[in-house]
Order: sequence, then structure tokens, then C-alpha cells
Amino acid sequence: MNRRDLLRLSLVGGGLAWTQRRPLFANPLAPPFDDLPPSPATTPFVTTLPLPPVLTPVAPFSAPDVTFPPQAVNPPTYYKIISEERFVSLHPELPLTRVWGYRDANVANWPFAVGPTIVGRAQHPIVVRHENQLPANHVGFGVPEETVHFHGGHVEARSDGFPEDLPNYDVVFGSGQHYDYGYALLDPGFSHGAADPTDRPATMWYHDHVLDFTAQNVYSGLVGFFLFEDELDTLDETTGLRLPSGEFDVPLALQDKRLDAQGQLAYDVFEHNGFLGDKWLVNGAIQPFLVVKRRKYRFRLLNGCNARFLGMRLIKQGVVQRFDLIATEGGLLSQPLRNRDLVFLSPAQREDIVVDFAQYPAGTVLFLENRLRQDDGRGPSGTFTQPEIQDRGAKFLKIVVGGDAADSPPIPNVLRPFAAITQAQINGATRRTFEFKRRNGVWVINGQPVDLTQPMASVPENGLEIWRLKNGGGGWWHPVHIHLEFMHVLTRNGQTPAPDERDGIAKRDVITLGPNDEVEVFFQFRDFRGRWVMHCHTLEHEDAFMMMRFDVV
Amino acid sequence: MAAAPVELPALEGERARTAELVGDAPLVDQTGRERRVFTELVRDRVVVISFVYTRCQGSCPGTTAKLARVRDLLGERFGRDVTFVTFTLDPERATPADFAEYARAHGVTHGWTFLTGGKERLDKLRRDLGFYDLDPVLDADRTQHAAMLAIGNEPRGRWMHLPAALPADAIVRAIERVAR
Repeated sequence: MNRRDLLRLSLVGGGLAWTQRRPLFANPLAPPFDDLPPSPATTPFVTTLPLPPVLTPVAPFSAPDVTFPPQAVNPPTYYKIISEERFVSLHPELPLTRVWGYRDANVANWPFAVGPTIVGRAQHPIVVRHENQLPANHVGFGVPEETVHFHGGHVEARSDGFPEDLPNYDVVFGSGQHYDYGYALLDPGFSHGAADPTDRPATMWYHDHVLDFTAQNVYSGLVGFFLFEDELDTLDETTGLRLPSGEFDVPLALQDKRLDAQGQLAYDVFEHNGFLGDKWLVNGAIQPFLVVKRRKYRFRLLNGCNARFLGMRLIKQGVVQRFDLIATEGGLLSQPLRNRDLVFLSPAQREDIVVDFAQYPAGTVLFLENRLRQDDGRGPSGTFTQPEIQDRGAKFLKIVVGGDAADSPPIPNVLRPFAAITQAQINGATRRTFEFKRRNGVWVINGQPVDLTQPMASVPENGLEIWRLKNGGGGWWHPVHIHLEFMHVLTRNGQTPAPDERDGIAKRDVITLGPNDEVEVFFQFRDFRGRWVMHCHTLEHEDAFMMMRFDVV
Repeated sequence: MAAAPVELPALEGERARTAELVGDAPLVDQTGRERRVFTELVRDRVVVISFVYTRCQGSCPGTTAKLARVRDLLGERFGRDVTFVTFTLDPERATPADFAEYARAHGVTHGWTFLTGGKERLDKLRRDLGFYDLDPVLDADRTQHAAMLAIGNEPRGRWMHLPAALPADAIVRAIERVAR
């Protein structure tokens, strides 16, 4: 019996009380509610956490399509990334799994499901050539066509990964082709003499963004981290803010997948409501483990799932542990938020936390667990402000406390302060409303399915904008991602937002619209004119056209 | 209609799954002929799938009219490289004659098959192809399922959904992307 049979039965029987959120599936570890058979069982925590290496430079090459603004004075560094089909081990008890993934062109064999980590430094431009070596004759989900979105980047439009070719605007590259991306990594506002060094990212990622098939391509594996460094966040714990670095700075890409009996990725191409997996992967391994030293660690958590929302807790013997939150998608917070006990991540969101393992004796075992309840693509149980947090969850990562090591100093009380938007700026802003809704079974923004050949909004460069993002109802959640700039979150449902999204403390590039939420966000779209998109980052909703184009003019 | 047991063609991976979901249990087209749906209408084709019913006053007329414009834009590619399959959302009342008239009204001469048949078969097909709502109240409302199209390139195992309200030229571009 599959989900849709159950649905039919519930109708025949006069309807289960739908508001009870399907009591058949009370067990949080039960397979998700859909048609595919559950994945094969695997023994948890028998494989080490994969740590895909940092992308290495290549000799400069001619990249005639890339032009950097005159403010980019440092010479660019060049990189090459190859996207390819490869076989990797997701778990030692499974056969090798065919994935699509990025690899460093300097490295012949890339045994990771996740691509190389790009590290970019403020004011130091980089050129990345992406070479598409995906199989042209591929059969199955995923299309061998790419456009690479630098998620969190403030870059020229042609390097942002626009989803579709337009007349005289070729951004999608097929198998056998390449595309050169230029990331100037200048501070937003640079072109107006108002470069803002407080508006810098920390943990970003890059992923495929091709129209209609982003969900399938990202699920297939076209994902990698992109970390940002500067004089504060130096990636060196002896300098700057002295945040945990090196082996103590660990990106964690959290993903759910479904596998068939042969250990191959399974996907439901007809499930546009949002696809859920039942295997919990970190950096491309199913339920790995990590041995840590007794000291502070920075974990950079990315929700790399297509449609699953995550509420991550750190658990020791059933007891919830505390940590400091130091960054969101919009970079380092103005100040650390101490003693947190939950990392809530909508699809595509990132949060960096610092955990101090010095408080635990060697041999202590902890688990990073998702405590949200989610049965389908609508979203998790509860509301954004009060999600249903279960008392058990899906264990993604086992952490074993090992020996001692020299520690980094305490996390300072000031990280990267930035000015909150002023009342004068609010008063001067142009206001627009965008409602995200399901209507007659299709996704719409302001009642329209979106045609990327036309902008839904044209915003003046450097103008002040307040966008009211509104959930049109029906119980659906929508993580809304807006390209080019970070959001300053002004209000959520008319109230001051929680600290982890409050202007003056945090910035975001994905804002969560829980059921019936309304959020007001402030922008100034600076420096780069051109075509951009806003879309739901539940990837199946995005692919079913819950996306709009806005032009900066 | 007596559904004779039919053998599904041997396919692998995604294609096998689609073959199973679409199935070959016959439905009846607008000329009254029984059609094995997967083998005759989906296999080895680029196909645009919709669900409507002829008495519909909601999304259906717009969806079918949009498809007619898409057909016109496709020109000679229509019927040769791309075909349309429209299933009824009203199997209890829809007759082949209704669909014959509906097809005539939309200038259908070839390449576009309208199918009706058993309610259980069509209900399952609708859900399996993604034309359903997780909310059972909305799911039971047939007017909710006519605003979407599924576009498939069966030999590629490549399928996507889009809103029928998109401009016709945007739908043509989507078909071209899927057909690649």
C-alpha cells in the first residue's frame, strides 16, 4: 500500500481526521509517507565523516566572458571544477552509488559525494570554470545541463546561475560545454563608494539551478560548500576573531536521500509536493561518526535537503546540549547567541555553531539529531515560531569525544556588528508584497505562475526596498530565497523577529514562511544590474515554477 | 470494460517505474478505441499530460485552450515529435462521444488523445502522475487538478510538471528542454 492508496482509503472511509497529522506515522523514524519502498537498512555510525578537500587553484586561463569591476584590484585566482557522474560509497554496507557531483579538476579521483569546498577571500576575485562532463545520453532523473548558483554570493548577474537561457543570454551549459564564473568578492555597495565590510557572508554553498530540474540535479549530488574569509573570520584561530579553524572548523552538509535495493539513489519524478528521503547523510555519508578533541569546534550546518526542514539538536544520553550560534546565511552575527539548543534549518539555510567539547570527558558520545516531525512536502508539524520538537529524532551524526588538544580562546562577545535599518530608511523604502500560494494544484506567486522571460518586479539599483513575503495558506511551508543581497528581517507576523533572524543581529538569504506567516524584509540591491530570481527553496516547488524574476535596473 | 491482463514491456530503472505507474490497462479514446496507455501513448514519446473534464467551468477550458495554442506553436513538430494525452477527471460521466465533441471544438485532428475509462484506474493514474493534493478535501475536488501539465520524455526517463497558465511559448520552451 502506498501513500496515494492510503489517501484513497481515507476518503473511502469518510476521511481520517487529517488535522491529526496522520497518526499511522507517529514514529519519527518511520519511512516517509510516499510511494517508494524504504531504503535498505544500514548500520549507523560505522563510517567516518567525509571531509571534502578545499578546491585548489589552476594556472590562469583565458576567460573572456568574465569581467571584473574596476574596484577589483587584486589579481584573480583561477579554479576548475568538473561535474561528472561517479560512483561513491555512501555507506560501507552498500554497493557504490552512482551520483552526479563536482570535483576539483586537479584531482583525478574524487571519492566524495559532495564537491570541493571553495574558499574565497574578501576583495580577492576568483574565476571558476565549470566543465560539464555529465553523461549526455543520461536516462533517468536529472538532466545533464547546468547553471551553477553561488548561493549567498554578491556577484554579477551572469555569474549568479540564472535558471534559463534567454535571448542573447546563454547561461545554461550542456554536457561537453563549460562556463566561466567570475566572483569579485567585493563588499556590497562598492560601486557607489559605500562598500560595506559588515555585509560579508560566512558559510555559503554552490549548487545547480537549472530550470525545472534543480531538485533532480541537486538531489543527484551537484552541491558544494563555499566559505568566505576576511580579516575577522580568518579561518586561522591565531588571528582575527580567533574562531575555531582548520580541523576544528567542520562544514556539515545535511541531506536526506532514498535508496533502492541496489543502493542507488531513488527519486519520485512525479512528486512535486516535495521529496523526502529516509537516509540521513552528512557530507555524503549515511550516518557517519566524527571523533573530536576536547576543545571548541565550529560546525557549519547546511540544510542540503530538497524539501525536508531540520531542527537539529545535540544530544548526550538523551539530554539536550547547549552551544553558541555565531553565523547564519548572512554571515557572522553581530554577537554570538549563547546557550542555544536548536538549529532550525529550512532547505538551503546555514547556521554556524560553536560547541565546546572540553566540558565532556573523553569517551563521551553525542548525537546530532533532527527532532522535527515531517511526513510530506508541506513542511514540519507545528509553526515556525513553535515547531513540534519531538523527544526523539533522526540521528545524522555521532560525535565521540577523544583526547585533549590546544583550544582556541573563548568566542568573543562581539563578532561582526552591523547597523540595523533605520526608521528613515524604512520610511524611504518602496514596498512590495509577494504571496506564495498553491492554487488549483499549482504553485503561484501573486497568483501567477512565473515566466522568467518577464520580470515580475523591476527594482532600481541601490534603491531601498521592503518586501512583504506572505504565505498564502493551505498548511504549506515555503523557504523563500532571494538572490543577490541578504535580507534584513524587520518583522515576522507584525512582531520583532527572534534574535537569529532579527535585523541588527543576523541577516538571512532564505526566509522561512511557515503556515500563514508574513515576514517583512529590507533590501538594497546594490552594484549589479541584471536579472535575478526569488523562489521557494523547497526544490520541487521551485521546479514547479514557484519562482519569479526580478530585474535590478 | 473488461481489462484483459496485459504484459508490461521490459524496461529498466526510471522507465520501468513509469511503465508501472502509467500502466497498460486500457482506456478508451475519443474515437471509442481501447488504448494501452503506456505502450501506445507514452512509450518512446515526448508527451504532455493533462487531466480535464468536458463539463468543467474552472481551469479545464483554459488548460485545453492553452494546449491548443502550444500545439499551434509546435507546428509540424506536433504529432511527430510531441503528442498530448488528456485524461478525464470525470470518469463516471465522461463518454468517448463527449471527448470527440470536445476534441472537435479544439480543432484536434491528430496527435492528441483524450481518454476515459474506469474510475479506479483513472483515480490511481491521476495520483501516481502527481495530479493530486495532500489535503483530501482538495483532492476530492476535481476542479483542483486541471491547472497543471506533466511533460515527459519517456525514453529519457525525464519528467516535470508546470502550471498550464504559463504563456504558451514558455510551455513550448519547457517541452523543448524536456525533449532534449
